[in-house]
Amino acid sequence: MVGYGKVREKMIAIIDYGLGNIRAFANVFKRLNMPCRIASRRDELADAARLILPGVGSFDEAMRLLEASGMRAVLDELVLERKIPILGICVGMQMLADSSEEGKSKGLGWIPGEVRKFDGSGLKHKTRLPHMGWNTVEPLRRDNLFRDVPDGGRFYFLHSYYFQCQNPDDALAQTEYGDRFPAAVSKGNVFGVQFHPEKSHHDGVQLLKNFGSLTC
Amino acid sequence: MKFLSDIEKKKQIETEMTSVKAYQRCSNCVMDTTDSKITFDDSGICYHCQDFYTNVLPNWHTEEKGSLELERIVKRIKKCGEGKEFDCIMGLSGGLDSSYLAHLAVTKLGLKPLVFHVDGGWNSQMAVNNIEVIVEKLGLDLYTEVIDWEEMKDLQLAFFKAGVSNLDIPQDHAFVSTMYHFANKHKIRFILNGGNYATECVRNPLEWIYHGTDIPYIRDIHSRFGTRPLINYPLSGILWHKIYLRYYKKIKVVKPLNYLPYDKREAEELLIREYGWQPYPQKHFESRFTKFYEGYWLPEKFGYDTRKVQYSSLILTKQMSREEALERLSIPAYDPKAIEHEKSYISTKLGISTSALEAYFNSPNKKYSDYKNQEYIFSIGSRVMKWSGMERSVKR
Repeated sequence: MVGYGKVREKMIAIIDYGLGNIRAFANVFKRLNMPCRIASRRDELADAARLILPGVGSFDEAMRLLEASGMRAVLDELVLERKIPILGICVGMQMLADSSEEGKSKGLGWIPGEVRKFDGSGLKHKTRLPHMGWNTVEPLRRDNLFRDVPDGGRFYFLHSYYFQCQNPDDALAQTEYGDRFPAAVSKGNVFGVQFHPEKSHHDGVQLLKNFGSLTC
Repeated sequence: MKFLSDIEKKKQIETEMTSVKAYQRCSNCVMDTTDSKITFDDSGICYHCQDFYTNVLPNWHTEEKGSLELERIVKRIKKCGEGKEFDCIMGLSGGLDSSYLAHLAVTKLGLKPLVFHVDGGWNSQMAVNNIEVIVEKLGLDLYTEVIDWEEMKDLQLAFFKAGVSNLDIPQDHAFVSTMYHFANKHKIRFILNGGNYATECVRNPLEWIYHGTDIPYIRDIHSRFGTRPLINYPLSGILWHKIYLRYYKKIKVVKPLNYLPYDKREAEELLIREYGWQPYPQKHFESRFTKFYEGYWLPEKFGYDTRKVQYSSLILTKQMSREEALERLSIPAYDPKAIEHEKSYISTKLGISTSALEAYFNSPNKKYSDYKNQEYIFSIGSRVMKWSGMERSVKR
C-alpha cells in the first residue's frame, strides 16, 4: 500500500532518456534536500527508490527514445515487480497509457487508458490548443500526492492531449479546460500528472516533495 | 467610486499639460507635447524626427551593406556554436517581431537558436497559438520559463499602488532577466533580439515607460507596496547584464532585423500565409495585461498613447502615412464596448475588486522620480552607447 512517511534518504532517480527538463527536477529536489540522481543508464537506476519520468514533445518520439535508452527492461522490473513509485510528467504521464491518438507507438500500459486530443467542438466553452498556462487542479483523492496542496492549487500546463482513464477510479485529480479532464492519475505505485510541477513553483514543489516522501 | 469619465480625465490631463506648455504636434510624425520633453525646430519638426534623420538613418543599412554585415555576424555565431546544440538564444512572445525573427533565424540564416518563452501569466490566445505554430513548423524545442504567479501578481499590484505610469515593469523585467539568465546558464554567447528601427525607431519617452531593469526602483516600490518576498521572481540588474555579461562573459546582443528590409505588413502576411499565425490589433497586445495597460490605462490615466510612438516609427520608415496615423489616433486604442469586461477580467485575475482597480485609476499620478532609482546610471550608459555608436536611438 502506498502511504506517506518521513523517510527522506531515499534516492530519487530522474530518468534521462533525452527528453524533458531534467535539471529543473534536480534543482527542486536539491532545494528540498532530497537525494536525487539523473539516470541515463541502467546501472544508475539500480538503487532508485523513486522514479521521475519527464517528457515533452510527441508521444511516438518519447516512446522511441525511451526504448532506445536501454532502460526500459529495468524500468519494467522496478515498477511492475518491485513496485517502486514512479511519477510521469506531461508526456511522461501520457506514456503510462496503452496508446495515444497522437501516434502509433504502444504506450507503457501501466495505467489502462488512452491519450486523446482535446475536442472543442461539442463543449460548452470553445477550447483552443494548446492548453498553455496556469490552471487550478481539483484533487479527487486527498491522500499522498496532493497532501498539503490547497484546494484549487495552481499548476502550469502545456499540452494538447489528455489521459482518458479506462477506469475512472484511476483519476487522481481533475482540471477544467472546456471540459473536465484527469490532471493526475494513479494506480498503485504508478502516478502521472499532466501539468508541470517543476514549473509550478509553490504547489509544484509541494507535490514533488510529497512524491519524494511517499512510503510504500 | 466610479472611474472619472473619459472627458473629465482628458480635461484634467490637458490642463496639466497646458499649464506647462502649449499643445503642439510634430509636423512630420505624430509625436506631440504629451511627451513633455519634446522639442521642435523652427519648421515644427520634433526631436524624435531629427534624431532619426541625423543619427539612425545614416547608420542603418538594410541593402547590400547590411546583408554583408549580417552574413559576417552569422558566420561568427555559427563558428562559436560549432558542434553545440545551440548557437544563439532568443525569446518568443508570439508577437510579430519575435515570431518573424524565429522564422528568419532558422529558415534564412540557418542558425540553431534555443527558443524560450517566458510566461508571465498573461498570454493571450493569439500569443499561445502563434508560439505553437512557429515552434511546430520550425521543429524547435520550446523552453518555457514560468514566472511564479503569486509573486508576479503581488509585484504588479505594487506598481498599481505606487501610481507610476510604467505598470508593465514586472512583465518586462521578467522577460529581459530570464533571457540573460538563460544565456548565462546555457553558456550561449549570442542573444538574438527582435528589436528594430523599422517599427521602433522612435522610443517611448522615459516619463511614459521607465526602464524595466532598474532594480533599486523595483525594490523600492516592492518594499513599500508588496506583501510577499520576491523569491522566485527573476531579477537582473543593469550592471550585471550590461557590464558583467557583455564584457566579462562576452555575451553579445544581435538585432538581425536591422540588417534587412523589415516591413511590418509583409512580415505579418508571410507569417499568416506560411505558419497560420494570428495577427493582433496593436503592438504588444499579445499580452492581455499589456493590451489593457497600453490600450487603456496609460492613455486614459496619464495621457500617454504609445500608438503615437509606434505610428511615428512607421511614418519615419515609410510604412504608414501621417494621415492614416492621425485617423487611427482619432479613436481610442481600446474598445469602449469591451472595456468593462476587460476591467473585470484584469481585476479578477489580480485578485482584487473592480472598485479597487477604479480606486487605483483615480489615485494621483506619480512619476518614477518619486521613488528610489538609478536613472543616472542609465543616462550615463545611454550617452556612452550613443557616443560609441552602439545604440543609435536612445530613450530619454
